Amino acid sequence: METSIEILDLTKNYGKKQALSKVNLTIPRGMFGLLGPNGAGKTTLMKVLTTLIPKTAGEVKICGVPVEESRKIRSMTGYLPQDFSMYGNMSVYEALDYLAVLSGMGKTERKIKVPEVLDQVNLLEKKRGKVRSLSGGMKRRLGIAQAIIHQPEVIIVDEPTAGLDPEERVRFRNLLCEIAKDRIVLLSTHIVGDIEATCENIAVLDQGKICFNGKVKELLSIVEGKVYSTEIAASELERVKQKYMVTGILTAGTAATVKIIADERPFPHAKQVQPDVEDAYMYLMNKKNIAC
Amino acid sequence: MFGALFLKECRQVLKSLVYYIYVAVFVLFITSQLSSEGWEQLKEPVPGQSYYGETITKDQNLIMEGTLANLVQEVYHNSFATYPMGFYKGVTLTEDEAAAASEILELCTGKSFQTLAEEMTAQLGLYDPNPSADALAAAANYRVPVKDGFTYTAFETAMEDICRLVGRGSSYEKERYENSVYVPMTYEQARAEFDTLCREDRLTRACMRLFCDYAGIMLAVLPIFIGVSRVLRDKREKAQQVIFSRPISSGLIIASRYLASLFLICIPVVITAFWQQRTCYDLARTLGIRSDSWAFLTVTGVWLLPEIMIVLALSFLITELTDTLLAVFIQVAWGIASLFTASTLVGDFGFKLVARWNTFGQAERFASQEKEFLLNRGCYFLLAIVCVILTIIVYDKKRSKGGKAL
Repeated sequence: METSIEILDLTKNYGKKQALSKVNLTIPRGMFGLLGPNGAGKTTLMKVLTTLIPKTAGEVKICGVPVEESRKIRSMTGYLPQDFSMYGNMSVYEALDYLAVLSGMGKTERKIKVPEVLDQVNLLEKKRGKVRSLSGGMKRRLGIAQAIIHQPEVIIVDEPTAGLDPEERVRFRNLLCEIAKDRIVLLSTHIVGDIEATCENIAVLDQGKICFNGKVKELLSIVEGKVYSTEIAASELERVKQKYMVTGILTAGTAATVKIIADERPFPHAKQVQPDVEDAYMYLMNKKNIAC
Repeated sequence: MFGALFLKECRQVLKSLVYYIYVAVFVLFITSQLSSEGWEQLKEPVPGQSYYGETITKDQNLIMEGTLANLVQEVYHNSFATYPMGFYKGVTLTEDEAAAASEILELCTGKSFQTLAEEMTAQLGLYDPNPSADALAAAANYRVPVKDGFTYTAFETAMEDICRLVGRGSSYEKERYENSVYVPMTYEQARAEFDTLCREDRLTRACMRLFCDYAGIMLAVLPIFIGVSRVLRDKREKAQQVIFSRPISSGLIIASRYLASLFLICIPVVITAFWQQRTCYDLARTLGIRSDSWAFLTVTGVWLLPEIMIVLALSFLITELTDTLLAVFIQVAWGIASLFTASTLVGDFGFKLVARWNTFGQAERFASQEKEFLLNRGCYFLLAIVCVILTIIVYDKKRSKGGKAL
């Protein structure tokens, strides 16, 4: 069975509002990043893929199975929703065991897998702790544990690092990369750093349409040779911001070092620098009317 | 898988505060309201007793006499007990209305109201809060005969006029007066009643019917809260999406939740029933009656299980449909309406949710209404299953619509 997600002309309407418009996407094995601003339609796409909402038109196949076969799709996908939560009065072990039962796992299998997965997400020591007592990061790790407990071919995670501290965010990214070794992990986020650190393939979604679909280096190539760094007087910042796309500012006393995206060298003394994904994403968003 | 899920759901219910409130309220209500006097004072009737208790009469003359006796007392005190919405409401008539009521009495009896009042005080004497057996017998024997040639149809018309004066829910509504005129039992009647109690009811069954009468009142309302809190829990704890996205069937989820709640609701009912039956069981042994040891399961099972099932199933269905507390308001109103629209506290099952049998014994009377009772319980049993199936369908639809209420 092919391990990929095929999305063809997917459209989703909420009444008169179009949340997804003729989305075409092929998601291969490994980490795949879905980037886009808030309200771009990322969560809607995730929910269509996890059978939580029906599509309006188009075709979606997960590992060759049409999304309409919800029972099969649910058994081959693991989902970590944006605001993951479980019964607060359950212990961590109980919560995971309960969700394992809902995934159709037998007693013997659960006895082996539940501690194993808790260990994998570094929550084994907290197994007797109540879900309500977990920190935000621990809760997300429990979320990823429940998404992988039944060993699905596809894992869909929606904004998993939002609100986490930097250390927890790095730990979570590493965890996702480990999991993605032999399956598809679709990571939806508006945090560019998450994608840069974990994904080779990405798609950018904006206003329900795919603006970009390709490898990270292809996205970087869009902005190649257009990112500059220069030092200006702090008093000139406002004027520069109005004229150019500024993606970074470092102020030191009366001077400021700014990172500017421009098609031509903005100042004679400006130095060309290596672009990162954030620069490319910002450039893409500003040029979306042309790109989309 | 169902077994594991059922046990986990049981654990969930056992961890909820609502469940312990249910247990406490139910047990307190039963232990405070249900008196064992009915069977503790039970004695084999012997010839020559002054009082053997009372029984409802269907004799039209006695019904007229008994109803008029009650009317004389209420007109005399100008205080009428009515239950318009199930709750007590005392009615006092205006001078004109009281005069009209006196005239109706005079029309029925052919005697002036003054004469009727004098006869009443002579018969009943002063009010005694702790009447002796003789006083009870005198009160039970107090009758006001109708005048010669006064027909039952004319009596019905006269009572309709009284109802117009005092309003709804009085003792002068046809359904009420035809089921509320008691006459003193003869030794033979008391003997027959006692024998039936021993032979048919085997004491414990009668005890359990009385238990079910009280328990049924609480069980028309309390399980709603357990059902509503279980259904709303996923939404409250934001666990809907995680659970919806699992491969398990909606049928298994709802069935395990429903059966776990049902099972745990039944536990205190069965334990309390057994506890209540215990005293009756001991008495049966003392009297040498072979009691039915399993009545606490069989009688309560038939009587209360369909009621708990439908109350719980409907709370599941309405809450899944609306994601609100609407079920609490609808079902509490239904429970109260069922309770207070009954024309009698013994029988009149119809399709009422709460089946009343507020008496100890009367096996023959119960046997005459058993078919109606079983039809009532059977309908609610089936309706509960239909509600559970509908809940599964609604839940399944919600799973594919992002959890939104339909």
